[in-house]
Amino acid sequence: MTRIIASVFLLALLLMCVACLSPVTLHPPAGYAVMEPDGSYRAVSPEGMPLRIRSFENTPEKSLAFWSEALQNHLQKEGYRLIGSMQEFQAGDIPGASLEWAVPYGSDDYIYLTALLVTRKRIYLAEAAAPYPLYEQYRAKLKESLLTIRPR
Amino acid sequence: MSCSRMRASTRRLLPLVLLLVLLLPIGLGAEEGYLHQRVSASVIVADPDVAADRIETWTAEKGGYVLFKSGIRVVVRIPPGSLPDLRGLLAGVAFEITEFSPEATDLREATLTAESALRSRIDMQEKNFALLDKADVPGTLAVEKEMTSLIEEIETLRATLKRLEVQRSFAEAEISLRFEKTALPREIPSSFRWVNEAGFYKLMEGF
Repeated sequence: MTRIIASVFLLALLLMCVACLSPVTLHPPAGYAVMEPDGSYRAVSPEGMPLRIRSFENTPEKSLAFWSEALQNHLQKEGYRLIGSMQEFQAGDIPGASLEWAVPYGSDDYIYLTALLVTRKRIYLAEAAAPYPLYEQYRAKLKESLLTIRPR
Repeated sequence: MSCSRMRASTRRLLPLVLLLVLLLPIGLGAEEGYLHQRVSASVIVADPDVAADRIETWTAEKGGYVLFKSGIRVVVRIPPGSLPDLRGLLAGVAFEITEFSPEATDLREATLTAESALRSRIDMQEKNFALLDKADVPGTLAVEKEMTSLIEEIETLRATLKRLEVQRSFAEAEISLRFEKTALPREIPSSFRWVNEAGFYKLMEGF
């Protein structure tokens, strides 16, 4: 009985640890500090520019094109202003697409990046944001980092 | 001083004064010809994409061209004579001009230095050509090595002069476009659960 309880406890502990793991690995943008994962990948620049990557179930199972359009329509309805057009990229074998949005926040204009990677079972959403001048400094590094995303 | 002496002095000085009067505008013109003018501006607009399009159209009408255009920033090159009209254009496309900072750089020294360096290198190149006929094999190799280096320097100087010429011929304007905050993004539920998890404010609050 004790063994069973101990086994169940260990299993629960293991599942909790797995849930806290980052869903992806990647090379963070140069200068970023990687934080303790809380089920998502989190990193932040010295100036406080966040980068977060989360994983969701691909249900109903749809393609990158579908989910990109769904996200774009949703954010536009909410009032986000799209800058430029969708940029496609490749993270290993997985195709991805990114969008940049302008958002007022306090007295500044922020740029909010959303990038999607879709596999048969999972959707990976990467997000980053910063005031426009700071975002411009990190933009190229962020885009390079997205290419190195690999699901765990 | 008697009147006759004054008249004589005036007659002697008159040609000199006339010469100065004739030369002064030329001197000033030469100074202006070496100026690279630049403007940094920041404006608040209702629709940055429309504003960027209007700036692009105006630039083309004035005989200039666009270096960079996005919904946040436009960088254009225009003939210097069009710069005074730029402020009027921005007043027409924007609610408010929050910054308009002109500046000018004198390219005379850089241009004359590059021209002088180019002339001396071309002279050296010609002298080396003359030496080639008279040189033995080791000498020929040495001359050819120097010629290769000279050719590279000449091309670099020509490119520098070309760049300076463009800077003198065109003024540059960098215009930052900020949109008027008419409404903040508001949360609207999506039919897809994970899509509801996306959002700028959720990202910022999560950190």
